[in-house]
Amino acid sequence: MMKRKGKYKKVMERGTERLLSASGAVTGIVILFIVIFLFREGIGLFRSPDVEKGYALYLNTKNPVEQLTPYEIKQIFDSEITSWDQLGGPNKAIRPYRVDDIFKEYPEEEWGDHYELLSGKLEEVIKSDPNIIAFLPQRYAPPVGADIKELPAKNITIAGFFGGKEWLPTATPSPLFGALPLISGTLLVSFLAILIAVPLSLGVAIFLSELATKKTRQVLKPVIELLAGIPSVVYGFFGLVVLSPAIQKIFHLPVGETALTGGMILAIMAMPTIISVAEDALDNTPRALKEASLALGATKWQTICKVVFPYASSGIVAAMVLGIGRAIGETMAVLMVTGNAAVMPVTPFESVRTIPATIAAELGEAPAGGAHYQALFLLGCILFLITTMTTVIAEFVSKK
Amino acid sequence: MIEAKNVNFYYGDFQALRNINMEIGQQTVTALIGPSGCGKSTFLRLFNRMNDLIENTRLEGECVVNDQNIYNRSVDVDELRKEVGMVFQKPNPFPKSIFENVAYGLRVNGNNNKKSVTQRVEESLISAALWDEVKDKLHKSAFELSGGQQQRLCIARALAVSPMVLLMDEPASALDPVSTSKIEELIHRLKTDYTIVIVTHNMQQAARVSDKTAFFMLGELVEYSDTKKMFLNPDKEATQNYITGRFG
Amino acid sequence: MDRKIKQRIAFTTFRIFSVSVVLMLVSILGFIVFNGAKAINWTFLTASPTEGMTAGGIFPAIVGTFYLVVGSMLFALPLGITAAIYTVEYGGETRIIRIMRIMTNNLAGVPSVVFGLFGMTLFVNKMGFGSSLLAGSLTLALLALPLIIRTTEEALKAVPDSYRTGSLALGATKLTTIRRVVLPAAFPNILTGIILSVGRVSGETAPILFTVAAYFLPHLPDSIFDQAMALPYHLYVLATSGTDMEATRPMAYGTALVLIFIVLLMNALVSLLRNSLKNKNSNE
Ligand SMILES: Nc1ncnc2c1ncn2[C@@H]1O[C@H](COP(=O)(O)OP(=O)(O)O)[C@@H](O)[C@H]1O
Ligand SMILES: [Mg+2]
Repeated sequence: MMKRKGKYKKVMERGTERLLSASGAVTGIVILFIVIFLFREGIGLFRSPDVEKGYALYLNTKNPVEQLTPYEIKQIFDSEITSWDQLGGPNKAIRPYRVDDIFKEYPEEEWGDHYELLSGKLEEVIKSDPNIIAFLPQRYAPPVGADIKELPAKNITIAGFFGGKEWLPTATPSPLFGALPLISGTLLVSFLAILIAVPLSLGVAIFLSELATKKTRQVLKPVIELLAGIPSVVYGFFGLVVLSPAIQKIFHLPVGETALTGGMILAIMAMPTIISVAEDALDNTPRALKEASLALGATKWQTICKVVFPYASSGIVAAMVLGIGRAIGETMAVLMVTGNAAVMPVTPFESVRTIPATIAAELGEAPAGGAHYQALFLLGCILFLITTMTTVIAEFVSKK
Repeated sequence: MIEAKNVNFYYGDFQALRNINMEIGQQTVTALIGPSGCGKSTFLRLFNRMNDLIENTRLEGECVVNDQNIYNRSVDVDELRKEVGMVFQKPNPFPKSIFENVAYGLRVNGNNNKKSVTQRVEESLISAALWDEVKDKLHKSAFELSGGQQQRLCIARALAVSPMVLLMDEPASALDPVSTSKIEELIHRLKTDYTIVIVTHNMQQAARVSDKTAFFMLGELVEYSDTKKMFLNPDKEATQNYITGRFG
Repeated sequence: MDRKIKQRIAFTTFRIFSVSVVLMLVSILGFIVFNGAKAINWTFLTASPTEGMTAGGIFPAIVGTFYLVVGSMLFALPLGITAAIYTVEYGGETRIIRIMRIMTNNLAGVPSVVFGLFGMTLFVNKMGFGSSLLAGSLTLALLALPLIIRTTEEALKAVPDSYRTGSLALGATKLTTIRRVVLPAAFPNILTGIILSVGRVSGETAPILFTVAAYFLPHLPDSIFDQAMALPYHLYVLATSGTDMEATRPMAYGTALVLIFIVLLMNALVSLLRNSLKNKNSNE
């Protein structure tokens, strides 16, 4: 009896340990999974064709142009480029042509019951005009041959993504995934936020740890920590109803939703975190060092500068890095107050669109698996990399 | 000259010093002895106003240094602390080089002349009997020194700003016997230039280094007289009991 | 004397900074509380939105957030706590543990919108849950996981080793020691971590945007495969996409106040817990 009970216990013991280790492994794997998943989808963008899937561009063979970039295609169909000589062709006006145009030219009876006649009609049209460029679904496309050529399909390029200045993910025939406006929007808003938040937070942290009485500190610290927990959507709402109208009025702007508004809201949100981490770091300075400095006739401020700061520097830097990480990844508040115009920002008084806001705003409309969807994942990867970097830096610095 | 006049000191509601009156002469070594918690450190820290740093404390009476009540409104605390240096119980060098530790007090007081700083650092280290041991590694971290050397570095650091008074709060209690005797020798030599007040709970040390001794108990100054007299023939029974080790 | 002047300038600046930052933060709170209080009444808390979200209440959003909190904790707590027990108590520096530690540390800093991105593909699309309470809970669970693992690990590490050796010396097995000695001692701190993650989960918008949140639902969800309304998303909708902004504002203020109230409640619980812990320790 005794023996059996002991055996049972041992089995239980071992079983539980297995279970626990399995749970540890599952957690690790799940997390690893997230990373792999993000990157697989994101990298997929560079295997997507740069024109809409299932479509292609067709030219008359007399036209010497052999290749077009997505940006050139966009300009052609937006009538920003109007002559072939701008693209290395003859000095002739470009005639952009979409499949809809054929429906306008020919009456319904001539399309065929299953559109089987479309291809022939399109062939005629393209053959007859050396200056045409036609954007057509491949299943109705005219036969490629002596008279008609199809522009070779290319994939979206890394340079196009990171160097492109146009973010037009739903443009046809050629969507543009230039992430530069989004990246610079994110950087601008975060930079403004840090510019505002860091000096203010450091000031408050110094006040709390060196100047305030114990009572003041005991009241203020919990209040500040509490504010770190308030949902970002609430801050965003505040920014929308109070801050952005105020900024519009003060700076006489057409709209109040600007990079500056985003930066200020982000600063307000990041400050509680920065203050409390920095205050902890300052507070960690040994009393003996401070007393030694004061006993030598140094003023309190000299003591702070020469003894407390150097001692707490790694903690302070870690606090700032954490704040930056929060600012870069913050989504809802920024989405609500920056106006979300995906253009290269020039001044802080313009609307900008950040990476997280783009994901939040567009993921709902992007068809799963499409280039747009993959582009949003790639943006997610960038965010992931940036925040991972900040965590690593913060950890590295605070360990030193 | 240092003087305490009718000093009462409170930590919140707790009275740590009770009606202390005491005069300390120039260029003497005065030892403060007494059982742990009797208020020696509190008393010592009154004279460079270190107690100001502790919240919710209160002082009654006067502390006079150089004929001036140092708790007067007109007194500049930072200037006072240059005049009245302090050495703490545990060596507390800054996490800087040996040189920078000693130069610290000069720099914060606005001396940025490289030559004069270097010279003053050397003088201070010589006075603190540390020069020979560190002259080849002035730019090494202060933490590379032994505990006893660190404490002498702290003394050198205090000397560098040319104080008149040196307050020492159990400066040798964290050190080994060899280092302790080095510190005691040092105190002996410094006496000619400085007024020294030293807290110690080591009776022999008090007897060895000091000219006058003050015995504190429960926040009161029980007896204050020449060290020789105090150890041979104290007036009060409590002093006798303490010195002979019957309590404390 | 110019070092005195420098000090005065610096300290005055810090005081001004502190006063203005605190005033600003408190006035944000005050602004929401003041405006929200006017909107909150019994109907607001117990009715559905009506008339294009300009009247009625936010009951479905409260229920939805409640479901999401419960759902996410159902996944995150067992996994997170057992994983933390494994790393701290059975630890050693095995490869699994090292990978896990790096991963959780990283994950804690990952922006919440990235979780939304992941949840949307994996749970909504690939696993076919659709936009549902299940998908939303799983996504939020992932978000809460690193927080729970970290706080639990810290709670376990705070238990003195003497407790463990004491118990083991009495012949208790490791499992018994953990169950009878370590976990009870660490429990209040673990609970603190749980409360904090509940606060975090209930306020997150980005992760639920595409995994569960609905703009408006005529009735409450009745299975885990239904969509749900949720407080933070509801506030976002009210704030940004109403047709009659003036009329929806009071609703938005009210919703914001409820969200803040949840955070306040969680913080109050935590400090209550900490205080009782302090008293208990000082009595011993
Ligand atoms: N910062 C403080 N706050 C409250 N009480 C203190 C503080 N420092 C010292 N005391 C109390 O004042 C008394 C004297 O302390 P102290 O001067 O440090 O004694 P000594 O140096 O003689 O050992 C002690 O009872 C001690 O508990
Ligand atoms: Mg003492």
